[in-house]
Amino acid sequence: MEENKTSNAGQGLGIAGLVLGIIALIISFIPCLGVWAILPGIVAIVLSAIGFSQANKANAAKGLVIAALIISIIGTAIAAWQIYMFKSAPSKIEKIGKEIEKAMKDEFDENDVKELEEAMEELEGEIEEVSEENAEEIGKAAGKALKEFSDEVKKTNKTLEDDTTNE
Amino acid sequence: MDIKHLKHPYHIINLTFAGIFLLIFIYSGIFSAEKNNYPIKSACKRITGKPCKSTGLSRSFSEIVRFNFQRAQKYNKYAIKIFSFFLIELLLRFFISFLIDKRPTQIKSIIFFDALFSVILYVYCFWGLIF
Repeated sequence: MEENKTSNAGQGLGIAGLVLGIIALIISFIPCLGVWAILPGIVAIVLSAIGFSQANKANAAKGLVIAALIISIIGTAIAAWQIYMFKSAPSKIEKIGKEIEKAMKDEFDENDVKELEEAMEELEGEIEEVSEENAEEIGKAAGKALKEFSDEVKKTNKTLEDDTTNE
Repeated sequence: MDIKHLKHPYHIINLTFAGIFLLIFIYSGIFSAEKNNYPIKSACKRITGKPCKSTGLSRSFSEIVRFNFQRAQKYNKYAIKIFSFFLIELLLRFFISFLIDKRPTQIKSIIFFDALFSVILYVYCFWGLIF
């Protein structure tokens, strides 16, 4: 029995698994870069599992392979969570975009949009008639229109923020 | 140096890590921030279009190995601390190997203090980047 416990079965794979598992664990915590930890993590789990099986069969010491297995599983789990977050990020952004679009539609009714379109057309017409004499005047009018529009957008954003806070 | 101790799993783990840390420094030396020829690109910048906390780490490391600390700080403000972690760990790996060789009977205490120190150092150096 004593002889069996000193057997080296599974030790080499356990060491490799432990090293890769620690690397996976170190990388997995880093934002963004953590997604890459899945590669050494999976390899570490496989090596540690084989090492554990060999050690079990030979009735050898299993402390190292168990440590390797636990560390690699934790590292891989954190990396998998980072990947999940990355995958779900675009759909979340899309959802927020749709919510903003909906809120904008609710805030500005059809008449507002029509008015804005008319104002834009008017402005375009004026721009076409631009000459050196009236350029300054048109510039000022465009600036004023833009300022009014930007104030409206700011007001809407503030209303949206208040709504989100209340929710 | 006793060959028997060199075969101890902890010795092998130590030397493997030393090799990996050396590879990180070699990687930083081969690729440069000026050429921006890194094989690994920032994933979050590619997806969201905005840089995240880890963006610029490779460029910073390249500047650090070239002793351009101010430029390194500009690329990533956490890079110097993280680089210090790898450098301290590299030196620690050689020191621990030396210690195991000199005091093989105290290997369990050496491993315990090595693990404890490494975890504390990791938390200290990576804190800003992670949280």
